Amino acid sequence: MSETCNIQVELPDDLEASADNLEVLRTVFQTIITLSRECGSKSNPELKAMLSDDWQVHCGLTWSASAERGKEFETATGKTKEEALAHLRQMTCLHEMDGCP
Amino acid sequence: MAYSNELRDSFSRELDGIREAGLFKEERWIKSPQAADIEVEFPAGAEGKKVINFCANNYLGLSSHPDVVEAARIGLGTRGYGLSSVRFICGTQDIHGHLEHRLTEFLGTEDTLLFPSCMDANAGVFEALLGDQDIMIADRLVHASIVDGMRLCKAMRDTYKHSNMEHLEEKLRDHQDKRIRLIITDGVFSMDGDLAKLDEIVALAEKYDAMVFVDDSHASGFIGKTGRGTHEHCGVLGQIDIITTTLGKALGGASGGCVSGRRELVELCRQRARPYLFSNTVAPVIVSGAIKVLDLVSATTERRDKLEWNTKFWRDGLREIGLDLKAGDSPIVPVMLYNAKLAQDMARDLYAEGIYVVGFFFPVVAKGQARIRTQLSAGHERHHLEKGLEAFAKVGDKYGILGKSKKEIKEMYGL
Repeated sequence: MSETCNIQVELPDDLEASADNLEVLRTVFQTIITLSRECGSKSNPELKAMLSDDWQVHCGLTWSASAERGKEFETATGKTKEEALAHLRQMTCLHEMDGCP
Repeated sequence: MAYSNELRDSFSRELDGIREAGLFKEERWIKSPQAADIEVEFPAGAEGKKVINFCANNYLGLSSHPDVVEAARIGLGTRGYGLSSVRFICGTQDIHGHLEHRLTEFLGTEDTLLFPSCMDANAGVFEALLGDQDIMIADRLVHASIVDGMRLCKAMRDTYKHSNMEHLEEKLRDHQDKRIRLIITDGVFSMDGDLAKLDEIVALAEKYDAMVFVDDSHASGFIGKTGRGTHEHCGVLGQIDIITTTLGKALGGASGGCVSGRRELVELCRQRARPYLFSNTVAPVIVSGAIKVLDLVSATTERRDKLEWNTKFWRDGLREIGLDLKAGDSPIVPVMLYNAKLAQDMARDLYAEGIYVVGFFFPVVAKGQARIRTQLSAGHERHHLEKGLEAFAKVGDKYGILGKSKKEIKEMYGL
């Protein structure tokens, strides 16, 4: 992303400007921009390469979640925030397991 | 990218970080066969020192048994050194089939497939059997190779608190919507030496329609009345769906492992498990030695009985000295010290007394759970054990921890 454009919107009185709500707004704007540029496009070279290898490719917008602790890092995606966090939890739980020789 | 000076410095800094964290692993060169009495060169270049080994997985003392060595020698002469092939191209000899058959009989399962190691068996088995509609539910203290195998599998993952059956039941209830539920556990847990409650796990598996996987690497050959493993000890022979185990511990100690269990599951591993498909066959010399090991452990329980006696003598002796032990019946006997530096210092002093043990601390075990893990062998004679106990008494006294509780040790040394 080369540039960030600041957009000001008026929030309803009863909507809290919480981190979660702001993330939803940010994601919605990002989705609009992404869709306006990429929807229906088959010109992506990676996509073309996969299609030529007979892959049926579905590419959609998802939630992404990541967790970091020291040098440990995990990331996961999901169609919903809950799904992304559930997948992420599955990955982080492996770090809670012992590493006995 | 060229291996530039910057890149070299970057990797060196990583190594420095490992050293600074006290986690740098150094190899000690042993100049004798594996046994109760060994000669060790440490540090490198130092004169060899004769010590009693209390840290090998040589539970039955078969690593250098003359009959096993002779069988390996015959295998070398009659089947050659290597096969230069994976199993399914031209790497399967008659003896591979014989060993798989013998392991199936010994473990009380339906079929067995050899792998280059149990690490490989664990890395390949889950991916071969499970898909994204399935769930793996693992005990939180399973071996690192199981964690890696779970990472390589597309099935969903969950864990339950160590040996906590209520928590496991809760998880099984939560995951009733999945196609396959697989409960994953070690038979004997390598750091604490405790046994999985396989009878309760099997009962829960039946209640909640789940399969059971057990890594019995620290059990095969000596746990249970005839040494079949944890499933024999817990009275659930024939009821474990998948067992993985190693030939690298009690069963000769060389290398190699296997997946053993339900016929169709083993066959699927033969078709799909990548460490089996893409690594070389187990060498004939090891296969021949392992068949002899199974002859020995099937003929008599003398060695596992001696190991059981040694373990009791050792546990009782350490307790009488006043050391704090993890409870359990297996030949893995952890002496709890809680403080990482204390564990390292005591292991060093014990080595000076001729006793070879290793201190374990975070991240290998949980923070504040540092310990010296001692491991018994049927190869230990009474005089080995007595000398070991004398040394522990002397070194324990030096550090003032004899007769002290966990709380008192923590007050003296911190965590």
